[in-house]
Amino acid sequence: MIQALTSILLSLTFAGTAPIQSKEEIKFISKNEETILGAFKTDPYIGTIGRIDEKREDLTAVDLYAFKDTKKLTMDKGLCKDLLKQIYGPLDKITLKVKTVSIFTSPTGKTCEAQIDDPVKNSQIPERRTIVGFIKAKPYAIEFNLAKKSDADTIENTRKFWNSLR
Amino acid sequence: MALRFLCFAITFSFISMAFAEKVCVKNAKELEAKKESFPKFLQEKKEVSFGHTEIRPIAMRFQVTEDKIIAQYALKVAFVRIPYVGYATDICYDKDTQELVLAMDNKKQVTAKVINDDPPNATVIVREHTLTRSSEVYNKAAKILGGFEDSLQKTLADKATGGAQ
Repeated sequence: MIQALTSILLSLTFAGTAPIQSKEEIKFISKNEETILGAFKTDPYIGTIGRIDEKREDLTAVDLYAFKDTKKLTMDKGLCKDLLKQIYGPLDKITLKVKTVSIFTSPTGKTCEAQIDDPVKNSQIPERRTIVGFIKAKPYAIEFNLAKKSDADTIENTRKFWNSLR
Repeated sequence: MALRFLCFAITFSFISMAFAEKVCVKNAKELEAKKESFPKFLQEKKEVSFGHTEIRPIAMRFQVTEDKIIAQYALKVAFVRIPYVGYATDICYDKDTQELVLAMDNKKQVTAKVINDDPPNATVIVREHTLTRSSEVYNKAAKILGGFEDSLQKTLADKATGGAQ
């Protein structure tokens, strides 16, 4: 009973206001409310979105990054790599490896999708999928920390979530 | 005599300052060579885990391997399990300030304040969260979070099933 009450209170406490909304039911956990979240991540990270109705645990938590305004308002590979650098650090010097960067068209316009592999054996997060694009003319990225390598369903799921954002 | 004492005092203070410097390592070999400059929990093990179970469970682990420093955590906020795995280029310790600093390869610096460095109940504070090495607390946190099983137990299980790497 006490645990249930605590859980409800926590849900309300951490229902922070996300700078973006989704057609899915979500809860936003701001890095300002849970300070440890921002401890290891770079400054553009603003919090994590919880997808309430998502069944797969590793697709439930989605890290959200908001960038300062960019000169370009159309996504391309060059801009995408610049923004990925702001998330992960210098891409050629870090342990994680950017395997693919591609551009696709989403409801918000040209959007970048990156697959970032962890080369360390038995890593708890062998792959990250990051979608970078513009929402209401502001540059954002969402990052999925996958417990196993992605397949077609995973890719569809992550894109579907991006498409739900507004 | 006074001059000799003055020289001694100056020399001593220089030596003290030299020893007070922050010591950094990049891998397990360097840590082994400089282990006396690090907290006791890193002197005896190259992989240390901390936990926190009050209100929101957190499990955190630092590993210094042959070529890397790995930092991992998972925490649960309401229904959301949030995992993290990252890599550091250096791990540094300053015995005077008792601050353990991880220089992450994304250029972020993470400071863990060491409150107690004695392995059985070692305690650190990371961003206002008090984390303890007490196995009771860590195991409880790890159980809630999942995917954070003790690596020693995993190794033993792998050996038992013939799946050891």
